[in-house]
Order: sequence, then structure tokens, then C-alpha cells
Amino acid sequence: MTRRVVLVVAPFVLLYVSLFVGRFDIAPEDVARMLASLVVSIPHDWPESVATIVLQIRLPRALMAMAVGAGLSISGAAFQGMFRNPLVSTDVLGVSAAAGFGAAVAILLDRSLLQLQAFAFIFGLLGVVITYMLARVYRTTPALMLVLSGVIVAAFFGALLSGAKFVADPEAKLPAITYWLLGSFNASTVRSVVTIVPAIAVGVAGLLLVRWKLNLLSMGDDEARALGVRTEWLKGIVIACATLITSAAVSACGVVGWVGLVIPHVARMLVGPDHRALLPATLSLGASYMLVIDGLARTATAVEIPIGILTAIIGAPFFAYLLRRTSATWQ
Amino acid sequence: MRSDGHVDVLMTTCRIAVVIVLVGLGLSGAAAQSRSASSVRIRTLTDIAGRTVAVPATVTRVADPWHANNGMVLMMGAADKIVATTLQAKRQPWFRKLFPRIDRVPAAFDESGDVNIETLISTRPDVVLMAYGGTMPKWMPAADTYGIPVFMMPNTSLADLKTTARMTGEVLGHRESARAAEWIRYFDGNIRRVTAVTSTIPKSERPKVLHTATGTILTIDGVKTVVDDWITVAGGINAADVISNARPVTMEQIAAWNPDVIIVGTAPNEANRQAIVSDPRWTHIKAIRTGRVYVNPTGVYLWDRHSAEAALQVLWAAKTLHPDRFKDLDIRQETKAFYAKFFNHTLTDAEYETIMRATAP
Amino acid sequence: MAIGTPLVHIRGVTFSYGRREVLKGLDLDVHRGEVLSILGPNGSGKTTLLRCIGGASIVSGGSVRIGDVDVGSLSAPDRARKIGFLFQDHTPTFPFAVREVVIMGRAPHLGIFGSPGPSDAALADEALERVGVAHLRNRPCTQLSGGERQLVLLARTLVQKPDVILLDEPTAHLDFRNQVLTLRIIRSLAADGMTMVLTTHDPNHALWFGGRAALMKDGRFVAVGAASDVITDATLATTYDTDVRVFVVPGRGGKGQSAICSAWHSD
Repeated sequence: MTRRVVLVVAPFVLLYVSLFVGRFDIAPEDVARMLASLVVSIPHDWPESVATIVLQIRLPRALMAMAVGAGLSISGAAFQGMFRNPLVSTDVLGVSAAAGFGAAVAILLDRSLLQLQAFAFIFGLLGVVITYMLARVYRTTPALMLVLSGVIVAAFFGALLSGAKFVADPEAKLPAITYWLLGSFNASTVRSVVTIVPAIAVGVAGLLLVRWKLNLLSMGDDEARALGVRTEWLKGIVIACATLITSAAVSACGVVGWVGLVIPHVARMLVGPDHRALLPATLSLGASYMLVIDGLARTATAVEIPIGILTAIIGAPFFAYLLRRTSATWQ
Repeated sequence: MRSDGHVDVLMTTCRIAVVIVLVGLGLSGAAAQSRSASSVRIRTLTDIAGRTVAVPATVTRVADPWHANNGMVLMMGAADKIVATTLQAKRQPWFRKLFPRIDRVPAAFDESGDVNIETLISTRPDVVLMAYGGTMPKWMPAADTYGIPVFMMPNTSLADLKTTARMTGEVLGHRESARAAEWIRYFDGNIRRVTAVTSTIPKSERPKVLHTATGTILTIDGVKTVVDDWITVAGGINAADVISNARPVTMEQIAAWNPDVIIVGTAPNEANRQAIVSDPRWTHIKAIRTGRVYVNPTGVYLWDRHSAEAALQVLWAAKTLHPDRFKDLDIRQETKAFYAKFFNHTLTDAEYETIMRATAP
Repeated sequence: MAIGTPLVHIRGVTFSYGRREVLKGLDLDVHRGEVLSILGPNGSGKTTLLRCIGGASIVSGGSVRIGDVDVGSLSAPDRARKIGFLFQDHTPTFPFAVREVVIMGRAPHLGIFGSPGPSDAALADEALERVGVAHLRNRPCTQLSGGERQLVLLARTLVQKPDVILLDEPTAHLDFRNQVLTLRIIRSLAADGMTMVLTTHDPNHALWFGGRAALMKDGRFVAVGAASDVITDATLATTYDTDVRVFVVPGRGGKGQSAICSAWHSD
């Protein structure tokens, strides 16, 4: 019971705390008063910069981090169930590679930030559509075909991305592409939060609605069908929702790995494999994790540490530890 | 027999022909050898990496993978000697206007200075001019085998530019050396002129300057860079206390630094400047509030990098940061004079504007 | 409908994997409330036939009807409400608790976004009781023995509340004791009125159930009828290409008689 309470409450507590943390020195009382003023009326006696920093910079960034962390985690969990494979993450169908290429194209064409996000999003969806079409066999999409097609599509867009980097101007465009690919929440403005977070929310809602049926799907296609599950529909819904989420996430902050892979395992250790409890748990853990990581990325040093590097440095060893502890079984 | 006799003559002719062909091949081979060995005079020069490089006494073909250096070569009147270059150098609109033939020069090098060695050999360069980044390029051993000399030049500070100019001129020839010396004199003159004023400016009156490297994804240039150097010369302080070029920083960090001046060093400069000025997260930063967000000029190459126009950059930066202290500094006049003298081009007012706005002529 | 009336009608069923014909024109009725055993050697097509009856595979020709509905035309949820299928191989990936596994059987009765409620949980518990594994309800399914797993999966098919349960070699890979346990549960479910069709490699099972048997060889029926009638030395020899003898032995407690067959006494 306490576990459940902690899971529900933790992300919001961390959200609140993260508004107080950052490279700009703001007295905690000023932040607290400013936040309180949103709810009750208080005389306005903190510097203008405080409002800008907290409301225009820290808050949108924190919300974006929560949405992306939660979204990637729930998608990873849904895919692991659907593919019955612990090594699967949200990138398996090639969405990140395709979205990365889309962003590179936008950078090469000098598009604005909003357009860059649109490019990344659309290319991400396109990549998965191609994967899905490649994987169709007699009106079904077997898991193996999906994975193999995903590998092909990811490799293809990866090659295109290398080509884009090859022609990029090395003073400005190449570093821009490189840093975008490493991942950062720096582009989180109020406007991008308002466009991207709802997209992620829609995908999350879809996955939550079918989460019990994922239990059946994780038994294998044959058994799920024998139990009355319309497997092709369900797989389609899962893929569509997870891709919507991941494409939106990548367009918001670049390619962030290891979250969709590791968080579901941690959640499974805490609440068990039943997707009815598992998926909500991944939302909470993913949001909390990303808030902490982004807090580190934007505060530890003057130079922003790319998120993708932090999640990999933390995620890979942790995954190794999980592997040793569970000896590669699911218990 | 008669037919026997004909056969004899035929055989002898064949033998003689074969001998002639073999001797001819041998001679031309020897000639080729001796041309590369003895008939070409060699100078021995020392590059910045401390290597002694054997460069032909007369250089007529040069490969230049250093984007900014191509502009230097143009300034020295030797652009027609460039036989291999980079995409980045080729696509500068002002370079192409002043030297349209650059379109026909192959972009054999990629953005990191890598090249297919066979492509390089096929352009038959007398020497390759490179920026020294601490290590030798991957294709160096192959170049050595084919006898293509590679000459390294420094690229970490503003002062280095003088060395680069001198070395470039030296390698290219007497005429270019003389041009380089002229340019160095002019460059030094500008530095002196500016520092005479800025060295007296107390720290409290030096504006904090933020120089952006990339647009959509924000990165900025920190200390220990050529950008930092001209900011200091021009009487400013780099607002960013991070090291090296194109560093990613958060909006919050920029707000914490609160720069007085922002210089947009990335193409498309004006669009990037607009994005900064209209972004709600930047509104409280001093530079935005006081309207001091500027586009860095770009001509034959980016003025703010290791280009020949760095000589003008210090003037422009000084005037931008301290307009009241440089009232009689006329950037338009200086630019026109520079282009007339070093690029043999008379700038119209409209063309001058394109340079100031970093757009194409 | 009364016990004994035909429930499933199989007419002229053929099935091919690519160009290989596996079922070559089969006619069969499954009667309500009976235990029907399908016997045959490997490759005779018994699993394929079972899959066709259950709708897991679509027939190439002919029809399979349950009641008056064609099985292939039913949607997955509708089919799962009528037919329960116990597969031969089940390798669990995730350590779901037994009760979570059993409650999955309620899926055909819940909508696409449905989720089981307390009444479904109660049905699951009942089913676990019925097959005698209620004490395992919280055990992770990855920690069950083969026999326990079979019974848990059987409980799962029960909560589907189907009209007929199809079992593919339910005693394969089980030790002797678990074979007996499983067969007893199957017979007791049939006694309650559930229609059961199973494939088995052991003719003794068919004889023990006392229901009907269908012997298959090379995609055709060798004989169909009451087990004690159709399982003879001759039919077994044709089906299995080996000498087998059927013995009549005294029934339980000395009452009546039953038959067993053995390949080890046929000299």
C-alpha cells in the first residue's frame, strides 16, 4: 500500500523540488512565493527574472521531462510484453533512427525549432509505417518479422543520417545535429510543451486502456487468439500508441535511450508482471527518473550534459546489475 | 627464297621496334623519376607541428582542406592554385562571387579533413595546407608514400592567424609571401589601433559578450578560442566561462550569465537573431532588453573565425561593443578599403550591406 | 440442448501446408457432453485437425460448424466463447501468478478495453477449485511443474465457459501420476456435461474414457465410433503399422469389463 502511495506521489514531489534547482541563483522563498501566487493572491515582490526562469524555463522543462520519461517507459514496457522479450525497447521498430534523420534534414535546411520538431515527428512515424508494411505476412505481423524489419529500417535511416552529417557545414550545422542526437531538454518552451505533451498523453491513454489485454498478448499470439484476443488489432494499437509517444518524445528532446529498456524492469521488480499494475508504475518511475536525470544534466556543470549520455552511463551498468541479480530469468 | 627474305626483314623490324619501345618506356620512366627527384627544386620548410616538410620551390597546385584558409589563399591572389577544397569553402557566397572558378574545383575533403587518397592523388597537388589539430590525418602515410607534402599550420588563437598567414604565403611563393606580409601589417595595425583604446577600459565597463555557434540547437563559444580572443581585444569579456567552441548550454545558464551583448555567429544569422529576440525565455536577459543582439558579418568567410577578414572583425567588434569610444571608426570605409586592397574588388553599398547581414551578395 | 446431440459438424475438411496435403477429406460429428479421443501416429494430422476444429487454423476445403455457425467466420472473441483450446506447448515468459493466468480466460466476455472485475475473479477461484489446484493460486506460473501447469491452463479454459474444450496431447511430457490426475479431471469435467475433444498418442486413454474414438492415419479416418468398438487389433495395426493386441480385463471392483491394449504382449 505504501509502495503504491510513494509511486503516485513521488513524481509530483520531484516536480516541485526541481523548480527550486538550477544554475540561476534564486532564493527558495522567492520561488515558493511565486508558485503560491499562482493559486492565491500575494503581493508581487520577487524579481521579474524569477518568474521567467521558473515559469518559462524550469517548469516547461520539468513537464517535458516527466512526459518523455513516463511515455518512453510505458512504451518500453508494452513492447517488452508484446514481443515477449526483455531486451526490447521503444527503438526496436526504427522510430528513433528515422526521427533523428528527420531532425538532421530540418537542421540542414535551416528550419525553425518548431519545424524541426515536426520533421522529427513525421519521419519517426514514417519509419515505423515502413517497418510495419515490411513485416506483413499473410495479414499478420509476426514478432520476428517486426524486429527484423525494424533493424533494416533503422540501419537505412542511420545511413541516411550519416550522409546528412557528411554534407553538413562543420561550423554550425554539424555540431547542431550532433548535440540534438545526444539528447537535451533545452528546447522545452511553453509552446512545445503544449504541442508535444498532449500527443504523448494520447498514446499513454491508449496503452493504459489495453493494459490488461497485454497480459494475454504476452502469452504469445496463438494463445492470445485462442483466448479471444484480436491479436492483429491489439498489436496495431500498441504499435501506434508507442510510436506516437516515442516520435513525440524524440522530437522534443532528441534520442534518449536506456529509459524504455530499464524502467520497465525496475517496475516489474516492484509491482510484478501484471500489466494492470505495471504500466501505471512505469509512468511514475519514468517521470521521476527523468526529472532527476534532467536536474543533473542542467545543473551539474555550466555546459549542459547531454541526456542521452547520462541515461546510458547510468542505465547500462544498472541493467548489467539487474542481469546478474536475476540471472537472466524474469523473477 | 624470296619469302624467307621477307620474313627475315619483318622479324628484324619487329625486334628493333620492340627495343625502341622498351627503351622509350625506360627513358620516360627515368624521366618521370628524375623529374620528381632532381629536376624539381625543393625547399625545406618547418611547419607548426615541428616537421620538416620538403615543398617544391614553385607551387602551382595546392590542396586546402582548411575551410577558412581558402579565403586566405584568395586574399593572397592565389585562388587559381587551389586544386582540391571542401564543400564548406566552396559554398561561401562571397567567395564564389569573387572567384567563380571555385565551382570547378572538386570538394575532395569532407568536413573533418578526411579524403579518399586516390582522389587526392588525382588532383596532383604540390602541397596540402592543413590546420593542425594535434594529430596527423588518417591518410598521412599514403600521402607520404606518394610524395605529397602535407604542411600543418596553427589554428587556436587570433595571434596564430599571423603565423598561418605567413606560412601560407611562404609555401605558395614570393608574390604570396609579400601579400601575407602586407596583410600581417594591416592586421597588426588594426589590433594596435583597437587595443590602444580598449586596454584602458576598466573591467567594470567591459560588456559581457555571448557568441552563439549554432542556431536551432543552442551552442555557444567559450574561452580558449579565437572568438574569445577578439572579444577580449575589442574590449569585452566572454560571458561564457566554458572552454572551447560550440558548447551546449541550458537557457537557465545563459540567464545566469545575463550577457550584455549577444553576437549571432551562425547562418542563417538574421533568422537566428530573430528567433532569439522573439523567444519568451530570452526576454529578461540584458542583451535583449537593451536591444544589443547583433549579426556577425560574413564575407569571403565567417569574419569571426580564422579567416582573412578577422582583421576586420576586431574593428567591427570594437565598434559594436564600444560605439562611443570608436566614434571615428567607419566600418563601411574600412571594409571597402580592405576588399579593394586585398580582394581587388570595389564594394558597392548594397554589397557591403550583404556582408554586414551575413547574406549572399 | 440435450446430451448426445451433435455439437460440432466437420464435413469434407481438407487442409494443406503449401502443397502438402495433411487432411484429405474428413467427416466427423462431435456430440454434446462426450469425450472424443483422436488417435494416430505422428504426422497423421491429429493436431492439425484439432486446430481446424478450434479455428486456430483455417481449413483449405470443407467446413467446420459449431451449432449452425461456421467456425472460421467467427471473430476471435466469439470463437473463444464457444471453444476452449489447450495447446501442447506453453512456455511462460513472465512470472504471472496462477490466478492472474486463469483470469485471462475471462477475456472473451469483456470488451476490447475491458478488464476483469470481482465476479471474474470469483469464477477464476471456482475453476481453480474445480481442477484441484486452488492451493497454487499465488504461485508464479514459471514455478509450476508440467502437470500443475496443465491443470492451471485447464482452469483457464473453464472460465471461458465454452461449449467445447479441445486439448492437444494433454498428457504429453507428464509423469505417470500427473497423467492419471489430468485424465481424471478431464473425465470428471465430461461427467458434468462439458464436451471434450482431445488428441492422444495412447489408445488406452481412449479406452479408459469410455467415450468415442477416431483413429487417423495419413490425413484420413481409419475408424470412428465407440472406443471399445473401434479399437481392435486390426484397426490399431492399420493405424500404427505395428502389432498391438487388445485385452479384455475385469472392471473395477470386479464389476463388468474394460479393455486395454499393449504392444508388448503381441507375439
